[in-house]
Parts: sequence; C-alpha cells; structure tokens
Amino acid sequence: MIGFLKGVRDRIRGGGEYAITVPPMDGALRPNNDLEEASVLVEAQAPGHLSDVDGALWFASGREVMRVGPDGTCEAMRQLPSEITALAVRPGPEIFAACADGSCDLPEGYSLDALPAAARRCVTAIGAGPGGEVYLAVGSLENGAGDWSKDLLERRQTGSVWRLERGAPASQLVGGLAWPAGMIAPGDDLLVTEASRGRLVRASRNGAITPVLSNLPGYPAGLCPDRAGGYHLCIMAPRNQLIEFILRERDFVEEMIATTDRDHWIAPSLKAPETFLEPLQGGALKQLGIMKPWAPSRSIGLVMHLSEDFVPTRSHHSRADGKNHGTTSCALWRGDLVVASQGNNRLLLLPQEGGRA
Amino acid sequence: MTSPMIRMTGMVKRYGPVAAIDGVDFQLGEGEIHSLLGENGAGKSTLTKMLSGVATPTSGVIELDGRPVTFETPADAMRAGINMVYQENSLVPSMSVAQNLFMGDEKLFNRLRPLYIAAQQFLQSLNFNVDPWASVSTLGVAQRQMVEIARAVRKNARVIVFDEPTASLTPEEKHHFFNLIRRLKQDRVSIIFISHALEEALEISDRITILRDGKLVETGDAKDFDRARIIAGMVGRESGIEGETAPADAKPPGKRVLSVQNLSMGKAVRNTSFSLYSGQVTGIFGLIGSGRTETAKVISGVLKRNMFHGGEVWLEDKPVRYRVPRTAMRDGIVYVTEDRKAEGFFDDMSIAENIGMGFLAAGFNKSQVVRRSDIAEVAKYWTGKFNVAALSNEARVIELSGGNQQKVVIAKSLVQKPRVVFFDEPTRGVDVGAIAEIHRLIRELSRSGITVVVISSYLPEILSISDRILVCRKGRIVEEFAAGTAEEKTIMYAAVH
Repeated sequence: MIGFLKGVRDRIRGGGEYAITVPPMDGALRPNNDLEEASVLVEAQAPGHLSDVDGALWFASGREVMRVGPDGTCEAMRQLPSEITALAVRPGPEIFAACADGSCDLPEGYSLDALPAAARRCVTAIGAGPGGEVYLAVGSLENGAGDWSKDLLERRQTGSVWRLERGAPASQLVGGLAWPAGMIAPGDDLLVTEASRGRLVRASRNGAITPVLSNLPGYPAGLCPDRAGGYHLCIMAPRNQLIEFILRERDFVEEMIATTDRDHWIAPSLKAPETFLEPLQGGALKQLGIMKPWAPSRSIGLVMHLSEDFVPTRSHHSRADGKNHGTTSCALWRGDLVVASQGNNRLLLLPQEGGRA
Repeated sequence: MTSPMIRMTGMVKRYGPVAAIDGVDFQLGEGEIHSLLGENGAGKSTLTKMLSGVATPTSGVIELDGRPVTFETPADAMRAGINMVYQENSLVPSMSVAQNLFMGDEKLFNRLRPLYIAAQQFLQSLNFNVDPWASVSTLGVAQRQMVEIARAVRKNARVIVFDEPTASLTPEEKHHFFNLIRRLKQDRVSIIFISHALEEALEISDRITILRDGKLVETGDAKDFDRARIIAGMVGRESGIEGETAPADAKPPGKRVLSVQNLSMGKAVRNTSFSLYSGQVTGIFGLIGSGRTETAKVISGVLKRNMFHGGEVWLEDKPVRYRVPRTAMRDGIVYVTEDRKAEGFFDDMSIAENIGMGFLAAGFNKSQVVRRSDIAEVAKYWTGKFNVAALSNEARVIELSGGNQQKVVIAKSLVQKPRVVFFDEPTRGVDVGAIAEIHRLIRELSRSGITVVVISSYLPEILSISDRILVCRKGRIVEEFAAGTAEEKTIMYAAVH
C-alpha cells in the first residue's frame, strides 16, 4: 500500500521512477573529439562484435564475418544467410555467429536448439568463457535484434544470458534483463551491459546479479578488458530528457510506433542525422556557432575507460555535431583500441600507450 | 600634474579607538582618472566618503580649487560638483528608472512622456541597455548599477567617485562603461575609481594611489605600476593568492560522490546537472545571480527544489531529497555560507559554543546531557587546527577579525565530519593571511578524500584552488574546465555567453 502511494506521489511530483532526469556527462566523461579525430582502420557496413584473435581483428559486417590481418588487410572470411547479430571468435579460429533470422553458425558440438525461437532471433552478444564454454546474450523475447529502440520504448525486460557448452543443451543463466547488449567473461563472473537500464552488472555463475555501474548517461553496449587493467565500455546512444519523458508516456509511444516511420521516432539512434525531419538532433543548444557538449542529441559516439573497480577514468567522444556515432563494440588490437562506429560504418583506431599505432 | 582640483591633506577618520584613515594625503587633478586601490578595510571607501560628505573627518583639510571646504552632507558635496556612485545602490526601488534619473530635478507639474523620452535618449547615449519605464525593483544588480552611473553622469558632476562600479557588469557593459569614463575625462570630469580589478585600474587610470590599513602606501603614475607592484603595495608582500594558475597537484576525478540531475528551483536554478568527485576541489564560477549559491543551498537542504519535476540529487547510488539542512548534514553534506554574519555563526555566543553547535547538530553527542567539557575539548582541537587567533575559546565570535570568524564558521561545519562541503565565497572579506590559510585548509580537506566545492566570484581564486572548474550561468552549469586548461577570459566567456 505504501509502495502504491509512493508511486502515485512520484508520478505527480516527478520523483523516483518518474523523475525525468539524466546523469550529466562531466568529470571523466567531459566531451572531447577523440573519436572524430581518430584514424579510420576499415570502412565497412555496420561493423560490430570485434574480437582480437592471434593478432588478427575479427568483426561482423552485415552478413559477413570479416578479418583484418596483422598487416592491415581486410577480407571477408565467411558469409551467413542473414545479418549477423552477434559474433565471437576463439583461437583456431572457432567462429560463433548468430543471425537475425534465427540461424547460427557454431563449431561442431554446439547448438542453440534449447533456446526459444524468439530468443534465437535476438542474440545480441556472444562471449567466450575461460573454460571452453560460451555465453550468449539474448536482447529480448518480443523483438528482433535490430529492434532495440522499440524494445526500449516498450520498456521490455525480457533479456537473458545463456550458457553454451559443447555437447550440452544451452541453459539460461540469468533472466529479466533489459536488453543485454554486451558481455565479457573476464574471470569467474560475467560482466553484462544492460542497455535499456543504462547499467553494467556482474552476473555470477549461479545467476545472481549485482550492479557495478549504474545510472549511466547513455545506453551501454559492448565492452572489452584493457591491457593495463580496467575495461573499455562503449555507449551506443546518449540518454536525454526528451526520451526519458517519452518512455513514461505509454499511450504516446504506442501511437508513435503504430503510426510513425521508425526513422522519425523520438528514440535513441545509432547514427547522426541526415534529414531535417530528425527530431531535435543537437538542436537546442548550438550557440554562437559552437555545439555545446550537452546538446540533446539522439546519437553519439562514446567509449569510456573504467578502472578495475568500475570508476570512469577517461573517455573518447564523437559529439552531436560529429559523425562517428553508434559505438557498439570495441577491442584491443595490437595494443591499440579499435572502436566500431555503426552510425558511420567504420572501424576507428585509437592509439593507446604501448600500442603500435 | 599641475595644481590639483582637489587636495586632501592629513586626513584622519577614527571610529572609537580605531583609525579607519590615518593621515592620508590625496590629490586629484582636473580631468584625471585616479584609481584608489587597497584590500578590504584599507580605507578607500572611508576616504571617498569624507570627500563626498557622507562621513565627517576627525581631522584633516579638504581643498577644492585651492580653497578649503567642509562638506557636512552629501548635498553639500553635490552642490560643489562631487558625486559618488556607491557599491550598494541608492535608488528608490518603487520608482521607474526615468523617475530615479531625474529625481530632485522635478518641476511642479511633470509630464511623464517627455521625462521618459529624455531618459531613453540619455541612457542610449551612454550605451546602457536599460528600459526607462521599468521599475527599479525589477532590475538586476548590473542594471541598477548602470542607472546609478547614469544618474551621477547626468548631474554634470565635476568629480565622480565610482566605488566598485564594474563588479556586477558583463564584459560588454564594462567596455561601454570604460568608454563612458574616457568621454567624461575628455569633458574634464575627474574620476576616482575604486576597484579590486587591478587590470582595469591599470588600463584606465592616469594615476594610482594604494592604501593599506588606513595609511597611504604610495601614489604614482599608472604607467609606473604593474600588477605585482600593486599587489605588493596592497598586501605588503608579493601576492595574496598562491599563483593564479592551476594547482600543481591537480587531481583527476575520483569516484562520483554526488550527481545533480536536472535540478530546478524557481527561476534561480534551471535544469542544472553536474557531478562531484571524491578528493577533488570543484570550483564553481558565475556572475552574481547566476544561481550558484541557490544550487548549493538546494543540495544541502537550505532551500527546497521545485515540488514538481524539481530534478534529482544522487548521493553515491541513492537519490536524496533534503527538506532541512539537518538531514543533509547527517548524510555528510555541509554548506558553509557566504554571509557568515547573518547565517554563519551566533554572534553572541563564544567560539567554543559556536563550534559546539555544529557538534550537537551532527548528533555526535550521544548522552542526554551536553557537557561543556566535551564542547570545550572539541573547540580546542579545531581552533588549534585552524590557528584561530583569539584570547581564548570563550571570546565571542563577533569580536574576531573576518578571517578568524570565517575559520570558526568552517570549523563549525567540519566538526560534523562531512563527505561533501560547499564553501560559498570562503574568503570574502577575509584578510590576505587568512586567505592563504583557508586555501591551504581547503586543499588539505580535499586531499583527505572529502569532496569540496568552492563557489567564488573571484577568478584568480577559482583558478588557483580548483582541480576542475564549473561555470554557472542563468541557473545552470554551462561549461566545465579541467585544471590547467582554463584561462580567465575563457571562463568569463562561458559565464556570459
């Protein structure tokens, strides 16, 4: 009863769950132009799901599994029947790939048959565990892998993480997640990004979830460990007050989804605007020719470095007036950080201390 | 300088046993711009108040055009062509700008329309963007200052004394103001310019006079002075602020301790967002009325945010909303006021009792009775730590100097063992020695892991003490600078545009 009354009060006053607020990007997240100024490693259609295996960089681009060799040459290694939604590569190379139509390409002995059909169409990340097992993130049971913004608007929380072992059926490790979009298994536990809740959680093997970084100013996606300790975490789009407001207006959202073209939804986006019909892309706060860093854009490029105890220590941005948006995945390759910008169809190279670039 | 228009010789002004001005000689030539510089309490205002008839000298002679004069009232001085524009303005708030401008010159029957037209033309001629129809009560500080200046200029004064005229003006308004001063100089009007902005004084003045502790330190042509020489004269040593660049050991952000998200309170705080990090000194700069103080007060429970959609404050991972300071204090958030006399201490209580109030408010006294020995012990520790100069801890706080009063106010807050401290204008009205001590104290606090916020209108202070700098404008944080990347002009640009 008290909870109900508190909910009513919060709804009227705009507090608690109904607070239309967004955490600021300041301190270690102070905007810069690092991603805009980064050199381009490869141009490819909607690149993502990066992994570094034996000195080669593997990534997914559309239906193809791509490989960048140590000498920098890029070639397609495999083509799958439909768009790849998740990819992981282990030494060998052993390729684990899931596609938007529910099909998959897995090494012999692995199978997704135990997953519901809806889950197979929405595998968003695959992470290799230290003991030969593989973990799968399923974004949602109601939407496909390309429908993240719809899933966010509908406020679904039907994501899950599955464990996959050779010769054994897949088993669900964790459920009730709000679109897990990235995952690594650095040790005994998994680190999973929950995009729609804007947080990073630690999932133990027994299914317990502990938030390690909450209230992020954007929607987190892929992450990778840093060589010098800590992690690099990609933020694929920023949160803003307009979208936070829309998320609480269920009737409006339903009507918008039913009647408006998806490109013009008031929803986060992975790419910078190309049409004046885009709602409010960096619109409000351009003053004296300067794009203010807190402009309420729908898309952004942001990779943040976290310390080992998950405190943001530095960040790389492509701001509202930039193009390298939709940073969904990152990996260390030859000591340098490679970031996939889905919004601008390119892999960006950010030199790191001790790297080769 | 040829024969001076005004000559003040051996001026003394005593308030009881204290000499505010002690044997000062001062001369002002016709058409001269003369800057009067000195620290707070150096006697600048007192000297000019004697000239403008506001204060009566204890001894000394004032000569105007070679003849001795005595000004019993400001009206006497005005009749002699001496006008003063005060720091605190003297306008009638319920009257319009035009009515204030022409006050004292009204005819028996006034037609308002020509009055407003004349006021409009006059204000435009000065490049002051003020609506003559507006009621003065609706104007901001800067616009009131403009009306004050315009009123003095309109009186066809021979001497105008400007006491801190530019403190609340924007850079553009300052530019117009200095042009106006130059025009007045061409018209052979003499200007006495009192300011803490040394660069302005150096730029605009013909001559400079420096006062310290009520005594004349030196007078000379402005071209012979530089900033270092002026500061040395004002404070008796090289500089009041330890460097005016970033601290050498500026710290990167640690763990996010406090996150303010879209906080709003009326028109003073508008949808502002920022974070505070452990172990850092965050400096907040902004012009008067930019909402810095109100933001700090809302966070620390002194003021309440908007009831509807007032935003959120997260203390670590928990949203908090304080309706009174006590609950904020219990969570470790403390606000050290900018107005210590009104809000900072109980002036009829002793140092120990004041510090003890902080101790009691934090709820550290576990027993049902308050033991004076406990309070004395706490007070002894803190006054020793802060070097509070007093005969004993039983001395009343009101009897202390500004710097020592401020130390007591800070001690009263720190006794509560805070995690986040907001210092609002911590060195306002504090002497130079105490400024250095307070700055050292603030740094020590932050290096011990406490999150410190310093709100200041004085840019060199912000630059010298902050690990990061936030700029507030129109009720929101609009820019962030890391230590070492900010310059005065870029900060000011952000504060204005």
